[in-house]
Amino acid sequence: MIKVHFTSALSRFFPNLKTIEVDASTIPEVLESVEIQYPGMKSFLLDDSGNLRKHVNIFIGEEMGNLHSEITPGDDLFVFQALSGG
Amino acid sequence: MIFLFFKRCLVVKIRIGTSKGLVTYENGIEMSCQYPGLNVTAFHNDFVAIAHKHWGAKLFRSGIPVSAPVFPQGSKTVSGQAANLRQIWHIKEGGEKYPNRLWIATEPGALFRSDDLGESWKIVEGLWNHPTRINGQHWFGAGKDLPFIHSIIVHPENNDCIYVSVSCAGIFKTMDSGLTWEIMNDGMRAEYLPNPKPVAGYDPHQVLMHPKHTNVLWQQNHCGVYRSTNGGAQWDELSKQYGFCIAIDDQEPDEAWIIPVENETSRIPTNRRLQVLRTRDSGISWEDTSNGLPKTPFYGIVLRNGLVKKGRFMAFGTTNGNVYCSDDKGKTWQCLTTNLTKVNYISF
Repeated sequence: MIKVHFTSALSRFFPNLKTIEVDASTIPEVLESVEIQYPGMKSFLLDDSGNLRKHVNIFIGEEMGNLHSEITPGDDLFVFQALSGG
Repeated sequence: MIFLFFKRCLVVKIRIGTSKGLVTYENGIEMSCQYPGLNVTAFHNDFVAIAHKHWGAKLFRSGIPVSAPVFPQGSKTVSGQAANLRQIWHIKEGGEKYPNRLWIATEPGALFRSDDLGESWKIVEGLWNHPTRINGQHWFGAGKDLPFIHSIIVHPENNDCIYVSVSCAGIFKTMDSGLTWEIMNDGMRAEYLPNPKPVAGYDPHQVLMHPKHTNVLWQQNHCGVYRSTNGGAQWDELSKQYGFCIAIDDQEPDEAWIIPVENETSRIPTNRRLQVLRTRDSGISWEDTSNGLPKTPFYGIVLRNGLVKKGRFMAFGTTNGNVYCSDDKGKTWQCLTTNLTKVNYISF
């Protein structure tokens, strides 16, 4: 299982948002599971082309990753917003 | 005096879409701020569009996120990049014939249609694949990286007849709800191009149709103020005045208001003076109707969709967060607030 943590900034759009555990072997699979639990979330993280939005960061543990990063069961995956306010 | 003015405006509700929320005033008092901190780019009834730096362009209905238009996989912008929704500029109802229909105009410049009140959206391929966009270099950005569509007009008597305005490309009209599109650029100038009379490449900043005399259209264009009396088939240049917004009277087809901007590079009010000009004779003459507006130097301007008129009531919001109102068709103005941020969109 992968534990998925979200930035609290997403709570205003998804009021029931909380850390979830999903069964997935790739990050796209993680996002598909997230979308099922929080419909519409994928469009917040990915653009129309399916790429990670420019100002969205994904970390696996403490390492910044991307949609192609490898994950293994037991990993913590963090969805953060990039700092853009200076 | 202020009390009396707002007393007369008791029934008037003004909704102001700003870069930091959707603020509603009634009777001169701020009643609510919805979507605080979010950049509200357009709204229509209970639909509200925002552009978010992190999460992208989003659409809400009564505060709940709903499906926004999505560009089909493989769609390319005019510069060859993957097309991704950047901003929703305009939301419009389909008219009496199509009670479940909504239109949305976007950047990159596309039109989307929903026939289920926003549950799902389809790109209007007839416009997206228009030869002027696909084959040439007639569509390009103006103040934005990419061309965008900012004005949708649904003909009140024939809801299959739609006009859209593209900055930059020009004005396009469909008579079949979007299947085919006709270019409506005759008479306009594009003085920023080597050929100022191209097929497309024009910059109509805001275009309005008279609600009763539907053959009469007005536009504030990058290159001046234009009017058409034959449904946009031919445009007459009335003034070379630069600006973004225009309002027209809902009775008199010859009456319109503009808020001048100095030029495209400075983007401040002409002579640093916030000024409203009115014509009652189709642009032959313009009179200053700025009574009540600041007389000191002013640096904010009014963007397209930043000026609204309904009957005798008018209101506009500036890029520096001021809002002014009139209840006598612009003869006199009162300051509603100076405390907002950039006003993107205003509506009664």
